[in-house]
Amino acid sequence: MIVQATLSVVLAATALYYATYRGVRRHRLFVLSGFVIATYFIWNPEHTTLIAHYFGIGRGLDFILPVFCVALLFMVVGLYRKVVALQDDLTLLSRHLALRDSSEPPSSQGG
Amino acid sequence: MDSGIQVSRETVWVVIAAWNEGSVIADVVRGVLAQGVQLVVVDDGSRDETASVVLEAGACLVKHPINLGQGAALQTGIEFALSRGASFVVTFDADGQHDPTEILPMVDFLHQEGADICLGSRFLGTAKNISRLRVLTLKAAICFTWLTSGVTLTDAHNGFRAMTRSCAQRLCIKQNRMAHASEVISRIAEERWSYREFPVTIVYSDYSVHKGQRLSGSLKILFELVLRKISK
Repeated sequence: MIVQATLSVVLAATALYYATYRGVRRHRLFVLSGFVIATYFIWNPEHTTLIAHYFGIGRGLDFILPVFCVALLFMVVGLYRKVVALQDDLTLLSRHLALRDSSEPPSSQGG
Repeated sequence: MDSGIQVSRETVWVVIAAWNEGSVIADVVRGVLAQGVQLVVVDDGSRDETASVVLEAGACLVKHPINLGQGAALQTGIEFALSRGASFVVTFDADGQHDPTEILPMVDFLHQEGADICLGSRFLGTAKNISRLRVLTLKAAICFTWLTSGVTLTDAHNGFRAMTRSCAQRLCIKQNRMAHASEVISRIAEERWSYREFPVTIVYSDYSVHKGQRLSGSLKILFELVLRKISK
């Protein structure tokens, strides 16, 4: 009961953050749908076993874990892409500053 | 002095990416400038006296505010050279491994062949003090390059290369770190540039081996290439 309540609160907070601050409408709908589905299964874990049986898997947990791992992998790839984009922006900015402030050797400067 | 070189030296720009090379860069700069070519050194966020030594030795200096990597530094230097009217751009290592007297012959060869880019090859030329393990690793890199890009080379990871202005304008190195060498070859395949190889001399000193890329860095390069692909 305590774990279910805690998980529900954490999920709700995450979903609220994404719904409020992140992305376009379809992303928010996706996150809210995920929240509703995840909360349902938190309070009705025996239904995950029914779904697992449908896919030929014995236990609900054995079904949920691989799904979770795949979702996590997508998240990591998404995060990495954001990091690469940030790195590219940083590179362009650094290059712009460096080229703007380039120096000539003292011997070539007029006097 | 005139050794039959047909290209105009004033339009040849050499680009050197340097990071904490304060102890050797002066000799490298003087050696390059002695060939009568133009030179820009990109200080890639060094924490030693590299920048001041470069200016004192007589080269143009572009200084990154933070360390970005050799690939990023070369791209910065290439853009600087192009803004100064370079007809040919040569990339050259900062650690003294390369022979500056081979710059103009390489550019001249590129010009006479009418190619877009010319890549130095230590296996067509000379590699002094090279370890057997490094030779094996470089040979593996040649196979990998051929498998992934279809470009056939005898030396797939040499920082000594010359290119025409139009090639330099289209190169656009995106790999900031050591994977840029593989990226250059991929770009040759993508743009269908005509390429040649030129025999060069590489001398492995204790300094350059200590400073240079670790053999284990090959795995890191592979990792960077794959991750960049999926991040597109």
